[in-house]
Parts: sequence; C-alpha cells; structure tokens
Amino acid sequence: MLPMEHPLPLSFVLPNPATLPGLALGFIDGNFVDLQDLLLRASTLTSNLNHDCSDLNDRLLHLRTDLTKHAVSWISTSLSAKVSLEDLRLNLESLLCLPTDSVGKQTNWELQQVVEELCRIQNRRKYFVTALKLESLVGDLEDSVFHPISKRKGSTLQDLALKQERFSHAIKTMNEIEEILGDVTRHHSRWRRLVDSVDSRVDKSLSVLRPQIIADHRAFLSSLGWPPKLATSKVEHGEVDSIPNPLLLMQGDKKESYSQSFLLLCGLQQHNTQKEKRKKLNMTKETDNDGLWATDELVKPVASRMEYHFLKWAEQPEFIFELVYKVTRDFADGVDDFLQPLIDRAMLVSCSAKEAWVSAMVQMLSGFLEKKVFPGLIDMYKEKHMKSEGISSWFHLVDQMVTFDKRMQSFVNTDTCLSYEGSSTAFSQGISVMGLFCKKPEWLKTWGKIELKDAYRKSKEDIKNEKAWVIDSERTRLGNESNSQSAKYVLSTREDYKAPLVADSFLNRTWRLIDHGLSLPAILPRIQFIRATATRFLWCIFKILLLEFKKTDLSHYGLSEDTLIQACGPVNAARYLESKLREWSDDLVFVEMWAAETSVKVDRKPEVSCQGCFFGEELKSLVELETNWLMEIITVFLHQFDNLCSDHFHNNAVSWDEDVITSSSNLTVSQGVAEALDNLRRHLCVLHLNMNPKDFLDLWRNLAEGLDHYVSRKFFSGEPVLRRQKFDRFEVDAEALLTVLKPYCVRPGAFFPRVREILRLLRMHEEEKARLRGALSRSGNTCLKLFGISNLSPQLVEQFCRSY
Amino acid sequence: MDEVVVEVEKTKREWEEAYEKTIGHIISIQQYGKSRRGDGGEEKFSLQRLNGLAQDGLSLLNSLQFNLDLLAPQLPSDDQVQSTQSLLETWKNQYHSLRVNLRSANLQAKDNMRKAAQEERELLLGGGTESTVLRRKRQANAGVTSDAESITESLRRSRQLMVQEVERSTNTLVAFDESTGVLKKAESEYKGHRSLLSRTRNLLSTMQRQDVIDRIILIVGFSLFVFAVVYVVSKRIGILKLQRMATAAIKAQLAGKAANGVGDDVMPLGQQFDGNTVPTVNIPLQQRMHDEL
Repeated sequence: MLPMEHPLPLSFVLPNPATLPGLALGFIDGNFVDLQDLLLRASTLTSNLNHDCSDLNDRLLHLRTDLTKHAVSWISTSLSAKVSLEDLRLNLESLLCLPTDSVGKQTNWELQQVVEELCRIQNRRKYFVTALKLESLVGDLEDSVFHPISKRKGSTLQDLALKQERFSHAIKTMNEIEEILGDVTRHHSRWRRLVDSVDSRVDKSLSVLRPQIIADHRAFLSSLGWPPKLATSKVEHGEVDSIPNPLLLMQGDKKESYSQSFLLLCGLQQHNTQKEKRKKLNMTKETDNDGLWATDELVKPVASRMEYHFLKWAEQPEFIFELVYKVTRDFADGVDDFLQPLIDRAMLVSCSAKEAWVSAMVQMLSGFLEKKVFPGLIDMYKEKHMKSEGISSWFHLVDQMVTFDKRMQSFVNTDTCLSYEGSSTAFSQGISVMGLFCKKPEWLKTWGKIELKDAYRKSKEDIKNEKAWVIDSERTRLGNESNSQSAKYVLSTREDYKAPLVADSFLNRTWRLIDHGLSLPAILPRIQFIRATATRFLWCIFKILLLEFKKTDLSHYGLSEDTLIQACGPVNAARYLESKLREWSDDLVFVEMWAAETSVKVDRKPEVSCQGCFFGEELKSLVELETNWLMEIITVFLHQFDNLCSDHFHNNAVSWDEDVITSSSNLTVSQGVAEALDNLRRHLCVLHLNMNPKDFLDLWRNLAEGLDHYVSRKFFSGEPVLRRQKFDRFEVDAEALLTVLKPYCVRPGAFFPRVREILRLLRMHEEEKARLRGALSRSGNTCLKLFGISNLSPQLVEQFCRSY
Repeated sequence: MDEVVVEVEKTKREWEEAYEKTIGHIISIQQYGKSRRGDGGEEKFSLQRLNGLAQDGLSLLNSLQFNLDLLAPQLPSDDQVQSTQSLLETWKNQYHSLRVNLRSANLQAKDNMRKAAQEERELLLGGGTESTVLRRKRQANAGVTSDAESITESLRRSRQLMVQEVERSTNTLVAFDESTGVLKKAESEYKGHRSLLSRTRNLLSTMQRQDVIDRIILIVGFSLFVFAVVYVVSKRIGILKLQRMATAAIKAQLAGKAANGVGDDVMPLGQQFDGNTVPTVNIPLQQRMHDEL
C-alpha cells in the first residue's frame, strides 16, 4: 500500500549514493540489503541511534564533571605545595644569615643556588596558575559567545532578555580577564606571549560579540520608533510643537530591556577603554576623547535622516546649523534625564549624558562638513574666477560655525548640576565643530590666508578715510584736566593716548582675527592660527605706521605746527598699540598659549621667547619704532636750534663790543637765543597738546639732554673774548633756556647737568679756582666730585680754569 | 620743606599702598578655586574682576614709576637723587616680578578650577547610584535655591513698595506740617487785621445808609417824571382822535364818487387825490400842536 500512495519517485527522496561519505555508505550497506530491509528495520535503527546519542551526551557531561573535579583537586594540591615551598624558602633564607666559614661558604653558595632554583619554580608555578585561570575564563567567554542559538521559547522580549543576560555574563568575564591581564602587564612584563595569546582569543570573541550587541541595540531602537520625525506637521499659533522623544515614552519591560542593552554597550566601551589604556601603558600618548557608544548609536539614525536635508541645504549653511541645534536641544533633556542614571549604573566616571549627546551631534555635523562642504569650498577657492565667491562663502560658513559653537557651549553650560562656571569648557574639545580645523592643518592654513588678506584689504580702505589720522584734541584737553597728579600716566583709552581713529580700527581687526583663533578648541592650532593671521597683520600695521610717519616732512627748514601734529599720529598710535598688546599678553588665554608655545620651542631649541610674553617680538618692534621717531623729532629740533643760534655765537664779539660801548647794566636775552627758545617753546606746546604724556615726557627729557650737550660744547668752543660780559650773557641765556621747560617740571635745572655745572664754575671765586687748579694738577678725576662736578671732563675744567 | 621732596614722599606712600593691594589681589587670584569646596559659598570676586583690579594696580604702579622717574633728578641734593634713583631701580624689579607673579597666579587659578571641576564631575557623573542620588539632591537644592531666590526677589519687591509707601507717608506728613504752619501764620495775620476790619465795617454801614437815602430820592424822582409823561401822552392822544375822524370822512367821500361808475379814469384820479390829501392834513396838525405847546 505505501509504495503505491507515495507521489514522488524514490530518487527524489533518498540522497544520491555518490555524495555520501564512505563510512556512512558502509554503515547503510551493512544494515540494509534491499528495500524490504529499509521498510522493516528503519524504525529500529532510528531508536538505536537515538539511544546511542543520549549515552554519548551523558558520557560527555560526566567527563566535564570529572575534569572540573580534577582541576579543583589539582589547585588545592598546588596551594598546599605553595605553602610548603614558601616555608622552605623562608627557612633557607634564614640559613643564609648564619656566620660563614670555609665550609659554610661552600654550603651557602649551594643553598643560594637552591633558593634561586626554588624562586624560579615558584614563578613557574605562578605562571601555570595564572594560565589556568585565564584558560577557564576564556573558556567561559567562548561558551557564552559561541553558544548555539536555541529555539524560540517565548515572546521577543523574553528572547532579548535571555540574550542580554548572556552578553552581560560575557562582558563580566571579559572584565575579569582584563583585570588579570592588567596585573600581568604591570608585574610580569616577560609573560608577553601569554598576554598576546589571550588577547587574540578575546578579540576573536569580541569580533563576534560586539556586532551582535550593536545589531540588537539598533533593532530595539527601530522597534521603539527611533529616530523620530525631525519636525511635526502641527503648527499652532506660529509655534512648532516639540518633537516627542521616544526615549521618554518607554515604560515597563521595554524600558528595562533598553537599560540592559545600554549597560551592555557601556560595559563594552569600558572594557575597550581599559584594554587600550593597558596597551598604551608604555607609550605616553594622548588618548582621543571618544564619545559614548550608546549615544553614537542614537545619533547615527538621526544623522542618516538629516543627511537628506543637509545635501539640500549645502549652499545655505545657516539652515543646517539651525536644524542640528534644534534637534540637539529638543532631545537633550530626555537624553539627560533618562540616560544619566544608566551611566551611573554603568560606573562611567566623569561621563555626562548631555555632553555625550551634544558631542555626538557636533561630531556628526563636523563629519558632514568635512566630507561634503569644505572640499567644494577649497576647489572654489583654488579656481581664479570663482575665488571671490568662494571667499564670501567661506566667511559665511565660518561665521555660522563660530556662532554654532558658542550656542552649543552655552547650552551645555546651562546644566544646573555642575556649579562651576564653564566647568565643561575644559572638557569641550569634542563639543566644537571648529575642531574640524584641528584635524585638517591645510584648511587651517587656507583659512588663515583668507582672513589675513581680508583684514589687510579692509585696513587699506580704513587708511583712505579722511578722518583716519585725526586726533580729537578737544576731548583730550578736557580729559587732561580731570586727571590727578599721581594718576597722570594711567592711560587706558584711545583718547588718553591721543591716538588717531585708525588705531581703534587696527585693534578691532586684530582682535577679530584673534577671536577667530580662540574659537578653535585645541591650543596648538590656536597658536598656529593667531601666528599666521594676527601676528602678520600686526607687522602690516607697523609698515603702515612707518609709511605714515615718513609722509610727514620733518625737516628743520619750514617746520610747522601741522607737520608736528601729523607726526604725532603714528607716535600715539604706536604707543596705544603697545599698551593694548601688553594688556592682551597678560590675559590668561595668551599666558597659556605662550606657555604652550614656549614648551614646544624648548623641545626644539633652548632659546627663550623674547620679553616673556606672547607678542614679545611685536612689542619690541613697536618700542624700537617709537624710539626712532622720537629721536628723529629731537634731531630736527636740535638742528633748528643750531641754525637759529649759530648767528648768535658767530657774532659774539660784535655784540659784546656794543655792550662795552653802551655800558648798559641791564642785560636781556640775546636775540638769536631768544628766537630759538621761543621757537622751541612753541613747538613743545604743540607737542604737549597732541602727543601722549609718556612719549612727550621721553621727548622733552631727551631734548633737554641734547640741548645740554650742545650748549656746553658751544660754550667751550667759543673764544674767550671778554670774561665778565660773557659770564653775564651766558647766565642770562641759561636761565632763559631753563624757563622753556618750566611748564613741564618743577626744577628744570635738574635736566641740564652740564649747564648747571658751568654756571657753578662761573660763580666760583679766584681762590676756589686756584684750589681747583691745584687739585686737578695733583690727582685727576676723583677730586672733581668734591667740588660738585660730575658731568664735565677734567680737560674741559682745566681749560676753563686756564682761560678765565 | 622742598616741594619736590614732598611730592616724592607722597609718591612713595602711594606706591606702598598700591603694591600691597596688588599683592593681595594676586594672592586672591592664586587661591581662586581652592576655597569653594570648603566654604560652599560664592567667591567674593570673580576671576575677571580680580584680574581687572590687579591690572589697575599695575597701571597705577607704572604711573608712579614715571612720576618718580621725573621727580628724582629734581631733588635738591645729590645724595637724595642717587638714593631715589636706586629706589626706582628697586621699584622696576618689583613691578616686573609682580607681572610674572600675576601670570603664574592666573595659571594656578586655571589649574585649581580645572581640578575642582574634575572632582565635581567624578563625584556627580558616572559614580554609581551615589552619583544619581547626589545629582538629584543637587538639582533639588538648585530648585529650592531658585524658589528661595524668587521668594527673596518678591520679598525685596514688597519691601521696596513698603519703603516707597513710607516715603510717601513721610512726604504727606511733611506737607501737613507745612500746611499747619501756613494756617497758623494765616490765623495770626487775620488777628492782626481785626481792627482794620472793624473800621471797614463802620465805613460800610455808613455807605449802606447813604445808599438807602439815595435809593429813596431816585424813586421819588422817577415817580414825578412818570406822572409828567402820562399827562403829556394823554393830551396827545386826543389830537390823534381828531386826525382819524377827518381821515375817515375823506374816505367816505371818495367812496361815494366811486359808486357813480366812472371806470378806469377814476382810479388814477383817486390816487392823485389821496396824494394831495395827506400833505394837507399834515400841515395843520403840526401847526396846532405847536400852538398848544
């Protein structure tokens, strides 16, 4: 009956005999002769085979139990042997402390060898114990990972729970393995082969385990409804409704399942971190700030959904940044409230869920800009006919990036949990889309070039303005009156320094470049950018100031008030720039950058940065510029004074003869000297009104020193025509010279030491001169101080005493 | 005493004062971030404020250096000049060391803040269930603090309102006092004017009596005048009656002629007659009245 009812031929049911292995074929031939045997004996054979399989399984379980028992007994025996060996070693070490003799020395040497051998045996035993322990743990791990997939017994959640339990056990085992390997690496660095073999087996297990955990996590997120829609269709009264967060809608079993899945990912990440830390123990390398893997898994689906909008808005970056900010802000509270307790359960120290979420979103955006947006801008910039458009697009994008970083920074800092202001700033390298430039130095360089050219071009336009070099002196005059005596040189604003309007423009543009550099999250790219942009721009400014000063016609012929006022502009601007650069250099940000730059330079060369601040070289250059300009003005003044006074000294004899003839007892200042002094006084008044107080102080003190040298040299080079008349004339002229500086100091004579000493010599009596001449002939230099002379040379004094 | 010497001494005192203050600010900057965990309260000044104060101190010290540099050569004796210039060198070294100390203090403060922040993060983030409990407590405290701050703000506002109300009441009292004074002055003035008012009352009584007499005289005069007018009018009414009777008679005559049936020629003649009659009547009336008067 059965063969008649079968619908298919026998060739379709039975396998092809050629494909069967030899043993199987022999077995089947031994049991079945023909079709009758197949029908009669198949059921009996099946039951026999099942019985044999169950017997074999029982035997396998029995063998496993026996193995465990033998291992335990071996370990206990090993422990007792360890105790015995320890005691023996202690006894032998105590024997070594006995006093030695000729026979004892030989015995001690042999005992020492025995002790060394025992130590070696003990180390080997430790090795075997550790290897055995690791073997058992790795066996457990592989059992957990490579367990065959069982049948579905219940609902999906129950299956997921069972799977998560297995995964949790596997991670726990891996952590135990990691602890042992850490000890081995620290204390037994020569057991590298053991560590490598265990690592390879654990990595193999991980390569199977990690994708499974991640796949389960992703599947679970999909079942929850993640990622949600990026925008709701409901618009009420112009306000867009907030996006519902699926994380907050989970309840009950789903919540617990997600918690377990999250903890698994955290455990994996923690294990990975510890392993990397162990492997990099010898290499002192800065570790990257990895985000939270679980948060990355939340971000990736959102990123794939937002990618469509990003590509659509590639030409309008403000929409991209606004979308990222909105999504980040909408979900951050849910992420923080729900995931932070899970992070606490996972014992991830110093890990903030909100920061991890924000960091992951920012890294996603940064990745998109790096792959899709900036390469296009670079290509646009390199083509000549598209360069200006590329530059404007670049500026727009960078402005959006800087604004976005500031918004994200303030958003993260609004966490009420951390009370320190800006406590996240120290850990914010991951929360910055500007970190893109830290990874791409060539883009940083390109950005620096663009910014520098733009700043230079705008500065050229500023200079062309008619009011660029105008000094508003009315406000300055009012401001001067309100200053007290001690705070006379406390200058802080541009009006205090009497700097032209263009100086503020220069500083604002420089600070804009610096501010862009400070928006970079890492300190070395920050230094690199500021050196490439702000520092070079400062040197351009110095060149502009130098050209502006050279435009003024500073010559002793035709020196006018307008020329002096024009010359004061660059001088005041330079002083103002110097004060501002010093102020910036003392700021904490620049102190840190200077310290970092110095430490980098010290590694390369032992030179110390000049003047000990970030803008040291620029400050040195500015001071040099100011000094050169002041000396140039002083030189012009002295030349003019010389021109006006040379007639007076040339006509000395004539004027003195007239005096003798007229016999007038009331002398006045000489005409040439009076004219020169009046000219000098007028110029000093102009400079006093238009130059900043510090430079003006330097100028008139140096001018006084120059005049002192000039007048003393002229005095001694003149002919001794008539002694009394010349004395009176010189005294009157000297007093007139001192009155020129009367408005600027209390005692002008202090700044004309040579003239003062000449007057002292002229007022000496004959007997004092005789004593002075005698002292000079006896001992040369030292005796001059006794007479109160310290600036004139002995030769001049001797010449004076001989002549008069 | 010499003017320059006085100025130099003043500059020295200001330097010592500014130097002490600046050193204090630098020490505060160096200690910034350390004392918060112990105190639990807010810092007295923020780091930016402390840095601003330190920079102001350094600027003042720099200005005092300039002052002394200007004043030193102007001192009366050479010994004073040399000692002051050596003091100026000391000041320059101190100023430079202050700047260096300020930088290191700022770096120290930054390091302090970073360490404190790291400790706080390790305590509040990822430290097991203890972290969760601490964070919940901190957030609850933050909520309580914000509530307390809002209550304090409302209480402060209420206090301000009450203060304003008290001020308004005070102003009202002051106004009342002023009014009382004014009223008292007015009362005294009124009492001073009593005799004057009495004399005025006598005068008014006299004037009133005179007024009554004048009123009687006017009434009597008016009555006599009215009587005279009535008499004259009665006389003139009789003359008018006569005039009306004559006019009626003339009209009757004219009516009789019209009854004859002359036709159109009669009407123009009638009009002419009426025109002639009126002047005739008027002339005798005027003459008679003149005769009567």
